[in-house]
Amino acid sequence: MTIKHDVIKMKENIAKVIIGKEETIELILIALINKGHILLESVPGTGKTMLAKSFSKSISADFKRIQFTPDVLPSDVTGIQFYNPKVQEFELRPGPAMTNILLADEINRATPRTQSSLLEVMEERQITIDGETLRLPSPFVVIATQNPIESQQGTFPLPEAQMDRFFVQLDMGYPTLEEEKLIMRTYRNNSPIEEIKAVLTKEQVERMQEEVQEVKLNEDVENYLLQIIHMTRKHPEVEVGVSPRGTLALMKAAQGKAYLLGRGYVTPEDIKYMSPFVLSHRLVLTMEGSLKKSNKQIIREILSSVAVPVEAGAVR
Amino acid sequence: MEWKRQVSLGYELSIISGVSILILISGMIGSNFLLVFIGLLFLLFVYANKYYLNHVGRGLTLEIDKELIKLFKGEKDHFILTINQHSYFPILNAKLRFTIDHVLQFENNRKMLNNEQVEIEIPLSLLAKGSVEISFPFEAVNRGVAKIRTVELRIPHLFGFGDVYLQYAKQLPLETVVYSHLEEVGGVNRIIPKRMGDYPMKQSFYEDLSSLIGARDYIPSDSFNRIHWKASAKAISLQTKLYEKTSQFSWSIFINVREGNLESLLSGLTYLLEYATKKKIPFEIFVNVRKVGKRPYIHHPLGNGREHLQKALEIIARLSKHSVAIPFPQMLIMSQRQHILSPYVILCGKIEGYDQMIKLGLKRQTLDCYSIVEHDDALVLKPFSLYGKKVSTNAI
Repeated sequence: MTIKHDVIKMKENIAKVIIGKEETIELILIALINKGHILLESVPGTGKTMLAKSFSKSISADFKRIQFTPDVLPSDVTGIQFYNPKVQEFELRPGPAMTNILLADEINRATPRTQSSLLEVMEERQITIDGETLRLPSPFVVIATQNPIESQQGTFPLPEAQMDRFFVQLDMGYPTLEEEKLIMRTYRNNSPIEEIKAVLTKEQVERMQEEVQEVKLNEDVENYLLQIIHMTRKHPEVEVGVSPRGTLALMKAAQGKAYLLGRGYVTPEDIKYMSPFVLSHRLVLTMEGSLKKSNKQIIREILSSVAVPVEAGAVR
Repeated sequence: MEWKRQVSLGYELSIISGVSILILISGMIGSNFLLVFIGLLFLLFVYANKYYLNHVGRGLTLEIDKELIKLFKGEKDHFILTINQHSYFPILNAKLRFTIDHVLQFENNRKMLNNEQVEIEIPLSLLAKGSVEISFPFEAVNRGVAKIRTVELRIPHLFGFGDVYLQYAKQLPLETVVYSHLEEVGGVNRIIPKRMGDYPMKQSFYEDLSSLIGARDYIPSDSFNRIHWKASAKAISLQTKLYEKTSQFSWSIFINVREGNLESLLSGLTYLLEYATKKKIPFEIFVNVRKVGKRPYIHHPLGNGREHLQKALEIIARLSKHSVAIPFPQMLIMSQRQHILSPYVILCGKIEGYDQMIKLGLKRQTLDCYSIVEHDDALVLKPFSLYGKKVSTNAI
């Protein structure tokens, strides 16, 4: 069975629940096969949680959900050592982070302390509870959701270190008129989330994760990618540019895009396509810059200013 | 329909058509085929003229490359207008004219006297099925919001017999928000937080009991419930919890749009808002512009961060002296009834009446009140004085 077939199966399965978001589904798949974490950001009611739930149901893997609120503690995420009076010993009880797919719903409602408990989980794929370190199962993906409009009351913006750990940030946006009509008809008298079945196994995901690493980048494409990254660090309206972790993420994302299209090599177009999703949340703009432009605008400006490499001999 | 169309035919065409009919009739009566041919030729010319005027410019579309531009006063930017011609009739020597709010300045623009707009006129020629991209560089010269108000195209006839006037019926989506420039305000460092709250401080009488920052050795005067038992067990000596020192620190800012010196005060306010954002001080803004609803004034709720600042600056950019305003004292009194104000109140504009009563009301709530005033060509934050007690601005 080819990768294209798996992707189509996955898209069709999720499309039963989430209508008109093929691009978002594909980007989530790219993150998944690159062991990357996903931040879904959109206004309320656009299907962030539903998408995350249907995605996790489409893979026959462990799924756990944390509904973040200001009173969720770090130990509610990672786990605790508790004293068991029966055996008169401390016992380790891992938290919901010990899973394959973790849905961190409304992550910006958690306090910075609780948000920080995810740093080790996301980057090192392990949890440390009272000095004892446990490896997380493979594959492990965090799908976090947050609502951009509630930036004040009862919410805590994610710190830069946390944002950098998200492979992609996806904005769901509103559906089109036709899509919304279809949503109305689909949800009129049934609940399609119940009909979702697992179409990918853990083993298939792990195989994809290995295969995607074989996708090649030639030197011109590498240089193009690096020029984009370096431009983010030199841009006058950017205070903190993209980190080396971001460079690797963009490379992997481009590999993922090429892999899903059945190509064994990355083109500049793959890099250009993936850049806004991978880089924009990693930028910290200057005060003046943030008042005038959005992160995505800056990325678009950079992409339009960096020369795209062309095949040798194609242009005289 | 994207364009409203108005065709004006030149009187020459009526004369030519009249003459051509006369020639045609006389040719037919005199059986002179040359005259008939000339008459028909003239009639064809008149018909072709009218056909051109009735069809030129049909299917003309406009596109603009940007929808929202934000910039500070004095900065430069540009937008590109693309005109696509879908018709086969060429447009030659036409004049494209558009008007835009006067907060922007273009090369060779002309100020319109009757309203606060400028007009820009450029020549335009477009061949059949062609398109043209025109770049308009501009400079932001005033605080405010600029939109393209009208777009008109006047296409003259190829031989000068009449013209077509097209007016764009839709609104082009471009909006340019020009923020007020920053002007430093003296005395802002004098606002020192002194109440219980959650703003982190180096020194404060108050502590945030939910924010543990560490532990230190126990000293006998420490209370029992501050002992950090976990840390004590690890260190095998008593340890005391250390909490973050905090205070309440937020600003309520009131803007009077009727103030004569509004632009200068808003420049100072822009500085204060940026200062507050850098120091993570939450602020809220009240503006005495009438609004429908329970609160008949604009209120930007308490918050902090860059997005909050961006929204605040956009509100300030959109303020106009021509807005319908409610009396400033009325807004001050109503806001005290409807909101719990922050401990620091900053006024941007004079209180037009009942000032002593309002100031006393604010003081009774133990609020620290300041107003932005001009002093020796500089802006300073001046504490309120009651009953004519004058506070020297030199003391700030």
